[in-house]
Amino acid sequence: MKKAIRIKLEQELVNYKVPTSFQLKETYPLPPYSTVIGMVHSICGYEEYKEMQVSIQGKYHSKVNDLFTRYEFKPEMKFESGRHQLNANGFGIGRGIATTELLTEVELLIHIIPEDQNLIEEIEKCIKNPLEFISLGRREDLVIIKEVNSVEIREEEFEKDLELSNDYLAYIPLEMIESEKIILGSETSSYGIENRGTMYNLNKNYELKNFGTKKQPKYFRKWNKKKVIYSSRIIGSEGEKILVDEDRNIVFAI
Amino acid sequence: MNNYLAKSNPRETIQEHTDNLLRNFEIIKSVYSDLDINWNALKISCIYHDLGKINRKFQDKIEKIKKHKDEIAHNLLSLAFINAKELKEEYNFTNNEIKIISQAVARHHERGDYNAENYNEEVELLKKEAVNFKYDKLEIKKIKKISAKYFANERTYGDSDYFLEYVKIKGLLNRLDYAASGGIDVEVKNDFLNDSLDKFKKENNFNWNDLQNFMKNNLDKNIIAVAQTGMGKTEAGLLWIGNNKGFFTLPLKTAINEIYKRVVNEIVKNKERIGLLHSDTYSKYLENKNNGDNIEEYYNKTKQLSLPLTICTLDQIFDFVFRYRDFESKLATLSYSKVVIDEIQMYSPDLLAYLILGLYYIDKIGGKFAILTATLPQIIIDLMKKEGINFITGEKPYINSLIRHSIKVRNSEIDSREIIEKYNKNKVLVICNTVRKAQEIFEELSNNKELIDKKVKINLLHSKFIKRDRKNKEKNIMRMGDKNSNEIGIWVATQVVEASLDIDFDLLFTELSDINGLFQRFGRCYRKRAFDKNGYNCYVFDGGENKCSGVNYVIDKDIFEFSKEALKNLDGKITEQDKLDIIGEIYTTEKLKNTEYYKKVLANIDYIKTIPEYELSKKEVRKRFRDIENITIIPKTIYEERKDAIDELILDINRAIYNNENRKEFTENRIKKIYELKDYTVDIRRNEIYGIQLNEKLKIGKYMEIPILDCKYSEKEGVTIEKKVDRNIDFDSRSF
Repeated sequence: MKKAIRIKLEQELVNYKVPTSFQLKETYPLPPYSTVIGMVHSICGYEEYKEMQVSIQGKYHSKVNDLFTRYEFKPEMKFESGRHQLNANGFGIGRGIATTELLTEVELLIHIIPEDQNLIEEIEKCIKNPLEFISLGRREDLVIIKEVNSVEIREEEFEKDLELSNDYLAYIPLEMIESEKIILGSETSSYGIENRGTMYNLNKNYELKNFGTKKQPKYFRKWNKKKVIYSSRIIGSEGEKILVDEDRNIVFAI
Repeated sequence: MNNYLAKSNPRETIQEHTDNLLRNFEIIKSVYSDLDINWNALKISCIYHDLGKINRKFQDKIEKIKKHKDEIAHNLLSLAFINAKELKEEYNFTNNEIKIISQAVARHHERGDYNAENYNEEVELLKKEAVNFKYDKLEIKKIKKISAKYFANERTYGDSDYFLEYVKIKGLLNRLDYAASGGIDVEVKNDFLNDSLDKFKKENNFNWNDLQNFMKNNLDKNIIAVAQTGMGKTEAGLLWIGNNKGFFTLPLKTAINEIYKRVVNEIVKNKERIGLLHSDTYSKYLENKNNGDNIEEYYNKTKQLSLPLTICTLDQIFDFVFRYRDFESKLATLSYSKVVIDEIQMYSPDLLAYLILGLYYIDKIGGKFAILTATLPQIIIDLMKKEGINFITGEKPYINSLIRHSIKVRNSEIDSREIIEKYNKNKVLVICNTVRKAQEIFEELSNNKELIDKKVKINLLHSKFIKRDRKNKEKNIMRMGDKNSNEIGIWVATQVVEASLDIDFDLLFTELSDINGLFQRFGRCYRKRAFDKNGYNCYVFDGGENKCSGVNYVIDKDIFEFSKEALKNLDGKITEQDKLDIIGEIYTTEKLKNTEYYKKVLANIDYIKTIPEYELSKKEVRKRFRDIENITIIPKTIYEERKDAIDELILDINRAIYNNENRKEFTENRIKKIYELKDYTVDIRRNEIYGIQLNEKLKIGKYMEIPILDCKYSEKEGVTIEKKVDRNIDFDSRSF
């Protein structure tokens, strides 16, 4: 018998940045695991990584683009008048505009399953009484918490298919699809495409790894990445063991 | 216990209808017991296929109480009765087999929206109805939306491991369903053909020849054999089919009608077992109707491919290569059939592509084919090998040593003077490449004083006569061309006489088209007689400095040049072996690989392969398969001449009085009238009437209209269209 923290939340306009996008800050359709794990750690004030599994599902209404001011600088770059717009004590800073993608009216259902089940209560309390306003995505992307509960989760077999309710989409771990626990419904027009959806390779957590020497260390983050399918029309297959919470929400734990 | 109807006219309950399917299921299972198919899966599909009809909205519709806008198609609701777990336990079905059954049931009509908002709700409502539905063949334990594991609105495509299995189950379910609805048997057993052929042999007192024996000894193989005219190809094909389901394909309707007549009257002597299938089947059946014949049923059986032997055009069965929605029933039927293909050289590059792909699928799904042809271009063999089709070839070409033809090549355009000079009270056949050329020669001959004085009968036959006239002309040419007739005269014709017409003339004058077609044309002259005189009986005009008519349009220019080259060394008598050698030399892939013809065949094959399954509807495919370049019209002169008769026919056709008592007669009558009307029509290539406005149209029924074309028409010459409008003149009217 395992427990999870289930959070239902909403956000108005939000960007979950794709790490490699700059001139246009692209966004993931749902927050990646690392973003959610980071949120939990920051709320609870954890200083080191607590092993946890996360399940993310939800939906958004549409995508818009917004402008922002972008400052560009490099340590020890001297000011050059043709190149930089700002002079900061002899150092040069470029100032320009760029675009950011924003999701509108996001609704999320997140399950957090800490390895150490004793943390359940603590995490729940922290979310209910946070030190700072809770944000997910950029710092200015406020979170409106609708519900926080600790719920029981278990693997169950069902007599009939379990359809993901209220047209939610989710990050589905690849092995759930390969083992046919999860089936993606399709429209007639999906000409012979067997696996619908978009595959993402999402960051979950990292270790610092020294790529330099002992004397001159160079630390980089080595990310633990997870392959998932992002898709709609998700169906939990009858007669298969599927991880659900006590209200029969499918848990896509990874 | 309520009555749940499956059909309203005549009233039939779901149970009765399903029982009919099962009765037919037993027929097919006993007649074709060694078919490689999971019979249980097919049976289960039958039992479940129409259960969705118990839903109230369907019953309201069929009882004419009310039509509901949000009715869910019954084929999709039927899925809710399929209890996978139970079926797996009882029949050991695998997951894939359940998938196949579900898809077959869901797609037995191409209707409905599985993602409709009220689908789940309608499934719930079925529970209420099921309480009152009793059927001795099954116990309904549970009704729920079927798991997406087995059906999630997907389809089985060609690259799936169980594609062919699915095609068989789904296709046969369709066949059983149609048969049950039409009140006919799904298959009529072939237990007579071998006996009929034996009797036929004894009656006529001959032995099977080498070709026929070869076919008899290779019943279970795919065969390609070369045999000249008069070697008994028809009998050979029938021997190979034996007591199996068979299809006999030929390129021309006239030829099909001939063979059908022969098989029915001379060999099998029983009309009801042999089908004739092309676009005019119904009118042909009406023609041969005896009292007491049930034409509608006979036609139905033919259409549904239920008869043991069907003689048909290629397009009637091979259109499945487009894998249109509902193509499965055809391919499934071919999986236990033997298909004979005759006169393969007659097919244009596009039809050839369909043929090769069709053979590929037939071979793959377990059917058999045999190609019997007078000439076999090597290129076809190569293309078939390229597709990986399995076949064996005849031990040798089946020809005799009879010398039938003596050839004279003239390096000039076809010339009526020579025809007049050589006429000498013979039966003379002149073949041109195009209608226009044929009309020209005909005029020259008709206006020739010498021939007029001698009262020589001169006739013209090509594709641009209205059907009525063409039929008469075909009858007349067959009469003169009969080997026992003493009639003499001159017939000017186009390729329409090239193949399969059983006619025999004394002298042939022809333009060169290509070697293959040329030798086919030779076959219309001294068809089975030895030519033992001096001199020549076949005159070929190769165009000299110019090209023959129709080259570049209907004839590939490179192949024409190769053929011209090959004729250079020919003069005088020519044996059958010589002909095959020349063809063997020219139609090699090596030689043809840069011709337009070859490129077209390849492009066509590739094109069809790239079409995904189920993308096209049957209607779209029929359009592509028939020459879409053709348009059916009534010539204005004919309309004016026969206005009263035509208008009356249209009135009769449009008069939709129709009650249930004489529905049969009504349909028969209506179709009869439509065919009578079609007798006044002719098919014209669209590009010939480019720039001509078709303002007048006759409206026939809801969906058909026949334009009236302002052109000259005479019973002698057919349609003549004034020289085309110069396209540039038209330009001004299309720009601002």
